[in-house]
Amino acid sequence: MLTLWIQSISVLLDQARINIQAHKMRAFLAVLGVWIGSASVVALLYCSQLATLSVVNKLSELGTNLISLSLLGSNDSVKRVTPGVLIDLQETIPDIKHVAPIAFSYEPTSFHGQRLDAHIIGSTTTLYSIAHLRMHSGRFFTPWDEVEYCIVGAELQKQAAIPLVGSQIQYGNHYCTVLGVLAPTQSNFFIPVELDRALLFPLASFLQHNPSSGVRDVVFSLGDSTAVERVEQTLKNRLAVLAPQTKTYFRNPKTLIEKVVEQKQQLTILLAIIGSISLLVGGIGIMNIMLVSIVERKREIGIRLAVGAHVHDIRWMFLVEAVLLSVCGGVLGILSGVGISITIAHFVSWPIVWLFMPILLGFFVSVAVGVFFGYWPAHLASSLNPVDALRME
Amino acid sequence: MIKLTNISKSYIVGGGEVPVLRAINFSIDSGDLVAIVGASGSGKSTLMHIMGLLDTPTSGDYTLDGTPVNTYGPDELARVRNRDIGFIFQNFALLPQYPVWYNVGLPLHYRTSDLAFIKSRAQEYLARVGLPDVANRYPHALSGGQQQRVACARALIAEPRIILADEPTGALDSQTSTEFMQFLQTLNVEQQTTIVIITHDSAIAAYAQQIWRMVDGVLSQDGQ
Repeated sequence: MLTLWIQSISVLLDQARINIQAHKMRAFLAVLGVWIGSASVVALLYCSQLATLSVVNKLSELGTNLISLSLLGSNDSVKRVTPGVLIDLQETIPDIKHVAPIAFSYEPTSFHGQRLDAHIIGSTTTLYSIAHLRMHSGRFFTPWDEVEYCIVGAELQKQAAIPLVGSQIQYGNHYCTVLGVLAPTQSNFFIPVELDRALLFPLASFLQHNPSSGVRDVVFSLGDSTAVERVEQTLKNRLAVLAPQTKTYFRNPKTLIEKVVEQKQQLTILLAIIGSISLLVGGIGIMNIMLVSIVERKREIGIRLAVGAHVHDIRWMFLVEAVLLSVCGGVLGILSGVGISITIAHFVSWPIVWLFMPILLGFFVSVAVGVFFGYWPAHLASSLNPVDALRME
Repeated sequence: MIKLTNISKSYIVGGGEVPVLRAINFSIDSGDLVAIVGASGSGKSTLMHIMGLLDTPTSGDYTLDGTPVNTYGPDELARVRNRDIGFIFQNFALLPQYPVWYNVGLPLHYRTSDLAFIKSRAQEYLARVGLPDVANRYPHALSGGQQQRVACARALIAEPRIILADEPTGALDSQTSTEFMQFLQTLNVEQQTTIVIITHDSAIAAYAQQIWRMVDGVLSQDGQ
């Protein structure tokens, strides 16, 4: 039964191939519409997915095991979340590997009288590993260093023009000696400070020196990225008890990636709909060409009916021809669409990967276009009166 | 075998009814070779289309082997056309985009998908009509006489009991026409195939055992 079916399909395809070859230019024009339409759909879907993948990869590089917490409220309420409280949280929530509290101070900064555009920050040594920091020169601070010692970001070093390690920087009415200069860092959505512009102090001495400041942001690093949501919920509950007046705002890469993917999926659907309009035009082209073909081949239809073709034989003959034209356009469209996408990805530095969804979708949509736009002409052909068809010359 | 009783056919043209066939009474037995002669527009081809189940009469009864054909559905009509009736048309009616073997085997395409079988049968029938070497050529590469023989092979390949030939020699020269008619005559005698020839040429009609004449849609047998 299967062999018979395959044999019938193969005969129909062969007939369609012969008829298409008999009118090459017309067939090419029919294919061209679907080719362009299919290429736009595939390219739009493929590019959209590559762009999503690029964003997801970048977010993943920042560390999918991070939780960023911002504390909102008055200084008094925020100050209840002390470094000691955070250490306690780390010790009692086993999934938390590191905690990096961050405090800010706003004071003018200068070097040899030259104003520096700096963010004054107090944090712990754990920030070094959480933010993947690297030293350009000198060393990072230790928990035992006093507030007289600081670390500067790459951009501050650039502003100062001469090597800063060992030099003194003025902030407000105080001075600090530069222990080290950070190598340039990638901006990290989960670390709420531009580390290249940071004037970085050990947290404990920073808070002693700036009694009005408190820990406003905390970055948690987890041992297991799958625990992010669970730990976030535990932290929420614990902080609600410890500092009920403080509002907490959490961010984590997993949720962000999910949001980005969701937004990109909506965009992808929108793009696919826009692309489908050109495919629709291609489908109308197929229908038009098939209608012309039927008018020209009326006598052939009459001859076939006279020798015993059934109505469904005629319908299948034209339907298979329409689908074959559409699939040819679809395959060319897939190849072009993928080619265009890979070229764009190469120039905008997206990851280049094989995505099967746009390819499969492109193929099945082209088959569907052939069936949808080919059915009506095929039905018209099969409805012809044999005598009227035979009279055509 | 074929029995037409009071068959009439008319077309509606410009709101008026134009009769083409008027109360045709006609019957053929198995193995007959019959010619229907008439001028152009007299209704011969319409009669052939009705006999070949390609058209339906406006009124009257048509029975094939005792069965009224108006009881046949579209699939049964297609089946009868495929198995019992072979057509030979005036301008050969070959499909130019297909090779000769495909044209000859066309009726078999609606019985089987086995192309190897169809091709071998087509070659066999091409040999029978004297064209053993043209299977892979295309119709436009053949002469008129060869094309008509290809059309004849196509009509024969399904081994029909009836052959309906509409002006089969209309596009042939007199020598080829004679050869072709002799071929049909042999087929009629040797295989007992029922043949109906539609022609306006009395010389062609002379090959038939019975000659019927169509004048303005009225059919009558010569000599009666």
